[in-house]
Amino acid sequence: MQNFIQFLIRFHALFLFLILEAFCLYLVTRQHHYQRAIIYKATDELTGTVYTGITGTRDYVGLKSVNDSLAIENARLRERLLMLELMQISRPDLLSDTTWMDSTRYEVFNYRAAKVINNSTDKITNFFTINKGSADGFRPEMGVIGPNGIVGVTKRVSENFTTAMSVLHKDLRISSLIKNKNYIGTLRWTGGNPNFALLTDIPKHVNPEVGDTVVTSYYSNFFPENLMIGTITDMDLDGGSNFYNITLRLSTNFNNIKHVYGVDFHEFNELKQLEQTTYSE
Amino acid sequence: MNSVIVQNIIRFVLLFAIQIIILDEIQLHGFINPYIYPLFILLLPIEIPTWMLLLISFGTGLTMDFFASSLGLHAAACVLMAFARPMVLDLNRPRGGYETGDRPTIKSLGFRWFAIYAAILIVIHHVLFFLLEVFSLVGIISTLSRILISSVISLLLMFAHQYLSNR
Repeated sequence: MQNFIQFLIRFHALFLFLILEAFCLYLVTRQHHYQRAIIYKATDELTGTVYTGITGTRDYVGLKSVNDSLAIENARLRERLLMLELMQISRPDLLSDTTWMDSTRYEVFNYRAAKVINNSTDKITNFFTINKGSADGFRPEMGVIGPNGIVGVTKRVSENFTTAMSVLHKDLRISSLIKNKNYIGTLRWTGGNPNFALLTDIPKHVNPEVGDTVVTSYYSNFFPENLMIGTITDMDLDGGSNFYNITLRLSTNFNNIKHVYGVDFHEFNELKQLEQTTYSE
Repeated sequence: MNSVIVQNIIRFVLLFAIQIIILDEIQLHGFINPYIYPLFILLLPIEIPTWMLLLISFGTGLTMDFFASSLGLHAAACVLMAFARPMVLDLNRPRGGYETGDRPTIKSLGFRWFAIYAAILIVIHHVLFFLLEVFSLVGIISTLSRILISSVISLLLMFAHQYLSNR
């Protein structure tokens, strides 16, 4: 016993090192689990407050470009409104028809405006932080969109802040559609240039073309369908593979995201529960 | 003794401010992330007991993790670096050994000494950090070049900090 205690004292630094390092590695490998969420709940509020302070100053610098992109979005929405009004005047029958058809899909989504207060594009796992939290109706696994297209998916929510996985996160997969081919693939990002992402699972016979638009598909639980993701810039068939590796230029500039909307899907919990019970059977 | 503690707390806040407000905002060609906060661990007193060094480094890494949403990554790299620090100090012992009052700075022990000391430890930190971040051996060449370039820039920043700060 005496010897053992002396052994411990002699090598205390080594043991402490091994214990701490094991604990760190445990934290790293447990990244996607519940424990992480609990630890962050406490610290997110604190780091969130620090970032709000930093962002307050930074906002002034980017005011002009933000204004521009919001103005463009305003214009687009106004144009849509005008179109709908014109339709109402000229073809009331068509409009009531259309809304009735669409309502099954569109009315389930609700948009919540928020501001990005922290963001990164230079890691392999990029996250951003939003200045709204559960108090404003945010919840985990909510789609986040910006004026130019999709931005990410929320991950953890505290009372006043939300952190979200950016599209630029190696583990995020988004079901996407090549618009004029009507074919669904998977969007992923493998690191590198923040302006480009990969679209996979598109079979050989689809023949996508450079310049084709890629939008969110109707299978996504996070996003409404038909939201802009990007345009195809390059594609190749890897050594006799039957699936294309397609490179997309993302429509959102991730170095400069500021105003975003959380997409709330009312029946999300119901749907998730239903799917989970189905799969576990 | 108290002034040493106060001095280190001020340095901690200052280095983290530089790290979070400036360095984390600069995106050098997308893939290069310099880190200046490990300088805090480098500059802790030479005679600090190893267990205290390990615990302080663990806390430092964890603080960075909270800001970078990367729980465990920075902490793991910092703890390894802290564990290696006494060995590097020993390896890099100046002729005649350390004297009381020596600090691990350029001013106290010279540029050559500090450059060797910092380079070994920062490379250890960056290697573990970037490998854990990627968590695979796929694209090892790109990871290695990230490690190399980030280490060089981190070191240059640390030298600059040493020359600009008055101690």
